[in-house]
Amino acid sequence: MSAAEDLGYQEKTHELKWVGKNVTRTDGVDKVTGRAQFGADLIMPGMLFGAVLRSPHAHAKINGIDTSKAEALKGVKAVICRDDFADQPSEMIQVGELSVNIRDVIRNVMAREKAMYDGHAIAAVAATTAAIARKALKLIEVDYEVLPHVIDVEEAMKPDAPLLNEDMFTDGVDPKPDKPSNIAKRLEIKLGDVEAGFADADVVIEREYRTRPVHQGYIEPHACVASYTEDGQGEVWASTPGHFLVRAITARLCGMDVSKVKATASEIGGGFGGKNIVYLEPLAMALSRKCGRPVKMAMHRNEVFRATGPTSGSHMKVKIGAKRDGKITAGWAELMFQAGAFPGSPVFPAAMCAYACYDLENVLVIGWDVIANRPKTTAYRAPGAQISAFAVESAMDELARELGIDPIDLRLMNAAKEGTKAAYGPTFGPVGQVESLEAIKNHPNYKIPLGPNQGRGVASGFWFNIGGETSVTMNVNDDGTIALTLGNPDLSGTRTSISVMAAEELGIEPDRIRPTIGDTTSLGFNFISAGSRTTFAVGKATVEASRVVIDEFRARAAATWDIPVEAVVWEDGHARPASSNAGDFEPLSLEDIAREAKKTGGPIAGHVETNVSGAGPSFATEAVDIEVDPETGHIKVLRFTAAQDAGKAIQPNFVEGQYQGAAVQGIGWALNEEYIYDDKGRLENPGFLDYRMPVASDLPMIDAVIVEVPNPNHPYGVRGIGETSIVPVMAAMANALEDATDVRINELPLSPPRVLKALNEKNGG
Amino acid sequence: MRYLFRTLAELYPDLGPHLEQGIAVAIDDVIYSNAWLEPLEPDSEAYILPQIGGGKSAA
Repeated sequence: MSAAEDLGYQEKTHELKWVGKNVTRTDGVDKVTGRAQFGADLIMPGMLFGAVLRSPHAHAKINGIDTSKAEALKGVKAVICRDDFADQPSEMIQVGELSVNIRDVIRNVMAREKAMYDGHAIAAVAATTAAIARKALKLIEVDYEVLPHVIDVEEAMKPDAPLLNEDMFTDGVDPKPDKPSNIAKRLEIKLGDVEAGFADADVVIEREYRTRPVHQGYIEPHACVASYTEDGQGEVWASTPGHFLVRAITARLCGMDVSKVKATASEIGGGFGGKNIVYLEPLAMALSRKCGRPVKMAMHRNEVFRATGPTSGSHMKVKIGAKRDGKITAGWAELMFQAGAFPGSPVFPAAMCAYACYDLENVLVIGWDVIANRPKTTAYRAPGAQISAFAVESAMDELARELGIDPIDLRLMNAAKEGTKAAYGPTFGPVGQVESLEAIKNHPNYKIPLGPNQGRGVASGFWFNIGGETSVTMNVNDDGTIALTLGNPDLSGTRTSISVMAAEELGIEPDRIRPTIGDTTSLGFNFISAGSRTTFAVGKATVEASRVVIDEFRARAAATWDIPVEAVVWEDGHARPASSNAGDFEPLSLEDIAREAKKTGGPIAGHVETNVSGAGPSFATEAVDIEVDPETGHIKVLRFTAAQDAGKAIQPNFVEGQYQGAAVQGIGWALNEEYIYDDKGRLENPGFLDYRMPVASDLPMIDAVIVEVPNPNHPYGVRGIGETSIVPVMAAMANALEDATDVRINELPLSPPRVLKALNEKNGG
Repeated sequence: MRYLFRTLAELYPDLGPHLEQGIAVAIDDVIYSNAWLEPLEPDSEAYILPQIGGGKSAA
């Protein structure tokens, strides 16, 4: 059998040289010296600057757009609006983790019949300077007919709510409604008999929860450069986690063949799911097509807040029943998620994940996808799972208090494990929920005594992780070094982690491998960098490509020695005779074989095009200690411990960084982040000064604990690790607040005014 | 799996578009992004799921 044929996990019988060790990050020097080229860094000869006119109204019919004055301004080279894009049919396409309707995508990129939210793109300009482009925007005259708007998910679900889409009838209900509404879809996850489960319960906890939409908060705003030439060819350079996605949507919206759009990914300054969709690229391409010059477009921060992301706000109801001994008999939830202006919130994954941490017989989760006059939601780190976990894990904490059981022990008693049938369908293979709980229970932080106004909270979380379409090319250079071409933009050091796996396979130093993110003409299709898939899926494909190359090395050595290929083995970077029976030959190094390649058959390369399966789900458990200022309601985070099952940490310091970053984002979500709208539906805090994300001085060092339960479907046991650690954070914070103050708050954020109000109410103030 | 999909689409026509649109399948304890060509054993457990993704590229 070829070495490339078995890509399952095999416990290594020798010490790994590179996997599991920390090596120098491939992109580190460029990042710290400022040489790395991000989305807005590209400059082309003759390049113009684009700008977008955005709606000042949350909901308005567009009766007309007059661009004539803007077009007449000196320095303006092109102006576009809805008329420059053909309409799209209602057709679902896969975009990242969510299927989206291409009819909605064209409307989100550029408003057509109506402006659907404050900040919605109405028109765009390309000019010789950015200042002229901005001046031209002011000359565009739009005839708006302002309509009633709705922001809040509960308000949007009411029968008399302002209607966003007169053609939308709720899907998933029987009989089909005869009136349109803002409710796009109803869905259901069901296991067993939840009513019987509650009838069997000694204790039932039933609560309601609310969360606010929050932005992904990436540092680098959306940016791109597009160039369209007279022969109908287009190129686009973009800050994106998926340049194949950029190519597909840009080509589709601009009416171009896919082959006529070449997309290149720049370095990317964060995305967290918020860049799993396109906003600017089709506009830049359409502007460039109109004037024949390259066009750069880059959002300002206020545009990022007004027009991109966020994740959903929600209203949730949860009911959990248990026996006195702690055995859970039933879990129920109803999740109402805000999708923004177009359908497609992450309510489905939220429903699937809601009870995934537990081995339950009876589960029912109902989800509602609801549109409102806000930007269309995009993915955010384990999309949806963090929101439903806030509700379920808060209720679990109350259940533990009611039963007088330690919250970790209650979770251990009911923990999902190998053989557990998840409510969303599959039966789990080896998973690390028990191990993540035990890691927290045994951590020194969990035993530190707490002082006055201090509290400790615990919560768990789950994320699926994914595989997906992947193409990798490994070329062997004539000096024995390796050119490794990958198709997934690197947001977190994945180039390095993947190179390390290749080095381990080939038996060479990692710095002999140069990983590059290839453009869309250099590789087969690659699904976006999302779903914590990159190190798992691209790593798996790279291991396969390495083994293809090794098989060729063995064949070249066999030909050189004139022995059967089966008599040649690859060990420690050398081809060797399998035994003394095969002959007495000096081993051939990778360099030896590469140098002689032109004489033994020509260039050596391994390439793999595959749809990677077998992603290993990941569980996390986290504990947080906080201190509450009873006079202000301010919460200080004293210590935070995150334990997550990585399967195998290829680069432990990268993995720790992911756990820490996820914890920090969750802390911000829990404590401060929220959008503030005025009574006209206009966003009032579109900047980091007023939209309060955590900074270093707000935080303790996050203690990261890497749990390793190998994924049986990856040669090194890798699961995805980028998302799960955000899932438990908000519930853990709310649980800690109750531990500190005996006050339970079921609505985010736990901001000082809300906490102070609750404290005052408790004290009769 | 392709045969199963065809049969399901014949038995439940409303399911057809969803199967064509792209779904994931869990066969026993392994989730497949595209399962058309995966073999099914007589005692296999297969669950049809929506495509799952995520909001973080990362590792």
